[in-house]
Amino acid sequence: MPPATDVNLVTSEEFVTDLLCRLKLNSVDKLWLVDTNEDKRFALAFKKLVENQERLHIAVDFSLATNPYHGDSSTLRETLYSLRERGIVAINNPTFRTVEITVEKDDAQYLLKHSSIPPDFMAEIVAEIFPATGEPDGQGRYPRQN
Amino acid sequence: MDKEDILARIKSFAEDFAQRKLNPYIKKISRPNVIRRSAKEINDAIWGTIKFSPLEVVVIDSPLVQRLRFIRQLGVVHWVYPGASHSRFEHSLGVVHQAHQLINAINQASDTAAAAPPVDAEKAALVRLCAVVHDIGHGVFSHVSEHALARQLDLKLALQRFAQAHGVEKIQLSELVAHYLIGSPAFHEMLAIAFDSLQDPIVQGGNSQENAARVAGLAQRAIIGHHIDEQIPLLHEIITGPFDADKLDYYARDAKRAGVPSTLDISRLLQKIVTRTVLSRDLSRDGLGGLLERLDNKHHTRHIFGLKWSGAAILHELHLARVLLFAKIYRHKKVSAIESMIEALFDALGSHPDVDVIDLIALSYGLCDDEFLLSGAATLLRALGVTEDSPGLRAFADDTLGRLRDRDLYVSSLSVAPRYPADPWAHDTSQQRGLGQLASDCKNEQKLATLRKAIAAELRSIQTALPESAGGLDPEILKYAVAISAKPALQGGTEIDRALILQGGRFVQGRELDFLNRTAWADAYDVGKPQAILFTPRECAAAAYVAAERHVRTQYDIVLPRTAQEISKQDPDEIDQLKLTLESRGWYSGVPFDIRPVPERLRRQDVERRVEDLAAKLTTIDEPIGSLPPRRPPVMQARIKSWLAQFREDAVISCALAALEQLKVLGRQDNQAALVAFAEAHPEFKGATICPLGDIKDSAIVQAYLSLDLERVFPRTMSLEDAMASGSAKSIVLLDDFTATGSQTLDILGNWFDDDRLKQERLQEARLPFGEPERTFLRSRPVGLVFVAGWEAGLERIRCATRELGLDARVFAHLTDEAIPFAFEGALGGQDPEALSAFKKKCRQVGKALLASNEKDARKQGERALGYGNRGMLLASRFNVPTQTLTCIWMDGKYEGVDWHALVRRRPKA
Repeated sequence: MPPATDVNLVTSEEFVTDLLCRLKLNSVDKLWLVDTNEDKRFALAFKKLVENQERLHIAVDFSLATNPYHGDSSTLRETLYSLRERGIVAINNPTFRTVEITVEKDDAQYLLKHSSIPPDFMAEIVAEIFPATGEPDGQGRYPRQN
Repeated sequence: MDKEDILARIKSFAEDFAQRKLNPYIKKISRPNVIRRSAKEINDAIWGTIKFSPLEVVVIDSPLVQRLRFIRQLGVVHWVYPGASHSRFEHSLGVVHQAHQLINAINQASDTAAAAPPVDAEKAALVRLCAVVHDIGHGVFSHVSEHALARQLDLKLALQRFAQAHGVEKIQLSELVAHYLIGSPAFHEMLAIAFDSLQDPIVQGGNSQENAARVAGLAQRAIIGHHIDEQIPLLHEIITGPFDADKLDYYARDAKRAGVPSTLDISRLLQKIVTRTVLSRDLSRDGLGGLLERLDNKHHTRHIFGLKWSGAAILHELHLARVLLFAKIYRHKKVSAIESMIEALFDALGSHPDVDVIDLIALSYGLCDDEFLLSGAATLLRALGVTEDSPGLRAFADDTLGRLRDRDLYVSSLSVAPRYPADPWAHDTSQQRGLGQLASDCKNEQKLATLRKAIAAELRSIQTALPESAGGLDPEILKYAVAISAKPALQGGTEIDRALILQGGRFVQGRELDFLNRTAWADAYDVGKPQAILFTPRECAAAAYVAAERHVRTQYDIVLPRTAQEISKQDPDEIDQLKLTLESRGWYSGVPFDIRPVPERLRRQDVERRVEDLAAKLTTIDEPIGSLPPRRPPVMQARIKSWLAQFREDAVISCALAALEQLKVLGRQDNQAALVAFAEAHPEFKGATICPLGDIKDSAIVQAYLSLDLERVFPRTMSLEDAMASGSAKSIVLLDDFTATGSQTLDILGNWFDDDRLKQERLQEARLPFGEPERTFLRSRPVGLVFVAGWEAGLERIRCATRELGLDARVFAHLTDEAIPFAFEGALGGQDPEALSAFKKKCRQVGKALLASNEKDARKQGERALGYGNRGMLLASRFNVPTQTLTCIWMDGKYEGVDWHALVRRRPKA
């Protein structure tokens, strides 16, 4: 591993932002946190990131691993929560079940372009872990992955 | 440093630390009759009498736990809330009490309570022991030092690696150190000696060494959030869980000692606990499927505890209690300021080439709070093993410790917000992206360190330009004295929402309930809270604001609005005065105009009213939209001031202001006046057909459209082609708004009549030639060429051209040279000649620079610096600004290396 000072540190906010931006560009507008499926998918995406961090010349200072007993990721949920401030997401429902990806597409392009994580890599992760399995419904939602 | 090595080195440090602390104690308790065999009762200020078993007393009396007496639970909060000086030791005892209460509640609420309580004496003893030792990994100032240490990137990454390797979400340094301390040989030995002497239910056969290793291993697991019992798989959550003993104690204790109200009702919570025996195979049904892969297959049933459905609202109380604690105590601005001072001190110490992160960890465990505070740089550097002198670091450390002792605390210099109220740039994409990027960078330790250093460098450059701006602080101190506190927003309480709620005979997790406004508690207290705060010594706070303002403008494209000063508690007058002085020292050279100080001239009483009047005039001009940088204020009044401020010198600004007031905007009335005047001068044209002098791309089209208002004089308005086709036009009026040298009109005529002498190739305007019928049509009737405004010289050229083409033409302009304002030909006659000369010189310099930055050659720069023709015209129409108008009014570009923004942009020819 290269010394920490020689790599770009990636925070949970940056990684989750990149994933959401990529999803937005793929016309995914909503995520559901009603169960822990999304937590697992984000955890898988995080695992891919960790596996590739040396190649990408980055280092991650967080984990999106799910809690072994409860199945959710507090880091993911708190990160999504904090991204509201930047207009990346909106949580318009009081029970925190639906996360609307509100970032504009040109802003999503901009954020991906200026990220420490190569945009191509994010595109690969999203294609592999968040594939759309059908047409979006009237609200831009894709069928749930299990 | 090899990152792989850090965890091993921390483990080694912890084992060594445990040995040094425990060895004398182990010798002592090894002696006969030293270990008491009776329980001990301790009176706690919050919970009253708490009873401890002999085993617990042995551990509590050990130096590893006793040292917690000298570490304050809330680190530095007592600087703000003097009563909140309680120790980690008091808290640890309180956690034992709350663990005991939870155990009793779990047992009493169990469906097997009558036969056998699920948490038997052995398990209870284990949980209580975990409570005793759960905080022994805390260093000086509790979380303050561990957060400061976690800013060391190597350590941060090592902690993440540990979490990943152990399958936990995250781990803090204090938890890691506690984990290693409990696993150390010395700790095992202490336990073994106690087990040898005591009949504690925690001892389950075997020898003492084996029992010690087993018990310590379980405690290690509990500390990092792993399960410690197969039958009660969530037993460890009494220590680390949704409503654990830790929270129950510190929520109440911290609030009480700080004098802040709390909403937590512990007795109600205990009353609502419920325990059920669940078939192992049903765990998935209860949303605990993740447990199965971690449990053995020897138990068909498990005991699960949670809250009754009727107690679900307690989660709200937990949320609110947490939010109140964070908002009022832990995130108090002054608390953050003190924490940032200590973080800056750790950062500075860590920057010494002889110091690595393990040295810093050793320092934080080697001194207690008061020892640290009462020490000096020499003590700290000696503790770190630094032999090479570093005067700047030494001075900074002494300065910081002295300030802490004297409560001469750092103050807020800049509050970084994702958006500022009343920000004139709020809808500007660059501003939005810049603020977003800055907020994001503040959460990235690596980028935050870069930001901190960059602002410190800017601050030192201010000190160089203006030494008194830093309040006499040593420049070497300034290098370290910029601190940034960037804490995440109040969290949504994911952990609390993991609480199990018994609903319809099965457990569901709190997050699945249809609770309303669960996050609103936090939201209500987060409104307006900054993402980060820049703290500095009071005496250089204003200078640090100015330094940060320059940095975020040049690196993030952010223009801090005036309200940023208010939010940052800066005195606007002080900031203004400092900026004015710095500008006079050349500090703003090469810096965008929009963050430079407001020139004195623009602070005079007359400016607001005059600018308001100007805005009313200039907003009538429909600029092209969709053009990109440079940035300029979107609101006209602010834009006028911003444009004027670009001239910098007061006398020149006065002239520029007067010039704008002289700027003539041609409107509908001018159009009508021109046509009426033409008809009066040439009555034979009454009843003529009006045609635009130009194509759809020319503003002549709009002038023709406006002429419809004069239907009584000119009954028909149509294109020249339609006029010819109708055959009804006895005379034609070709209408346009403005001509200067006449070139464009000559070009039109030259193309219509295919006359190369008249065509203006340099205009590069594509125009279609007429056929012979059109030419004959124009030559066979009177033609008026009417301009709302025109230069005499240009009109004369047009007259000559029409004669040469054989047209029976009248060339007319309503406003000619005497009525058109020219900045340097009398329009600004009331201005001081010297100031006017300076204004002209400045306009020429700016114009040349703008033309150069728009890739115009030297000749054009010379000919057009004051507008094409260099006459400094002050004229616009509602639809465009002629190129002959003063260049600096309508052209964007670079001047002295920075962006100059146009006041009113012109619409270029297609």
